[in-house]
Amino acid sequence: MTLAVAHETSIVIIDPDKVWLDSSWTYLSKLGYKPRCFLDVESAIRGNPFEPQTLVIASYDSFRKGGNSVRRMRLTDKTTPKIILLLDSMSPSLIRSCFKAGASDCLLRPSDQRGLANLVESWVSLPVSR
Amino acid sequence: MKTDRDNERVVILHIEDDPDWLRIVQRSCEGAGFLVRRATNLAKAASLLDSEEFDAVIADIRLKDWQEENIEGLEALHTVPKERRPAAIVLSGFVDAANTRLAFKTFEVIDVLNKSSFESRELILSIKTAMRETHKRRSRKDS
Repeated sequence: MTLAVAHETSIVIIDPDKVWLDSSWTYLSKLGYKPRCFLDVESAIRGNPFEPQTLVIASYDSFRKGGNSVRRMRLTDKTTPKIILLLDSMSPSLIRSCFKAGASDCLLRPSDQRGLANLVESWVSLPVSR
Repeated sequence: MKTDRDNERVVILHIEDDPDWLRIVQRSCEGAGFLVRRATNLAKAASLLDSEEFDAVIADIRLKDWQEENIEGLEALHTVPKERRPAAIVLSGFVDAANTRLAFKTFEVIDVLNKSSFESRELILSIKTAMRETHKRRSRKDS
């Protein structure tokens, strides 16, 4: 049941690390997801990949370099994609910065693609509206 | 009898059990023209939230009856139906990564402020954002 939902969910990954992006694309594709990967927020916004049930997983660095990128991503689609920001360390000030920018959640960056897949699965099986 | 609500004054609920912080916040809020109602425990907070309308809530995380893993100042908000619930700000001396994330994610607070780096201006800005969010929620309910 979860997988059926997963296939309908559009997944966008934004990360400046090309190796991480490639590995993530390969791993998630094998699981049946169809991720779209971007090296930065600008490319993602230009690529207009946001659909009603989009789950965006972006590194905190990408978000920081993209200015008000979370809000801009939300504006591209009135149905509001879910935006998860990945941090290398969790501190109150970083977490505050993520949520105040409009992120749906922020989490420690998974150490491998299996962790990333678990993260995706935990979100795509949740109800869409927050 | 005319109430503050009738006069369209901004009314803030402050949930806090430390008299010093009650005074500090009151001074900041009154300086900005806001009226502050105080609740020093959860029962009082829940009762005020049930009987009055607030534009925003400022809540401490740990009150005297604090229990580990609870963020009690915010628990009172959950006694109010979501569409009537005023937007909240945490003001606490016990801010860490776990309770900051919990406050934003579960309680949908507008901001989490640390008492150790308190700035009146920052609190007032957060209150104004919270007010806008509260009014947005209520207008959604009415439409």
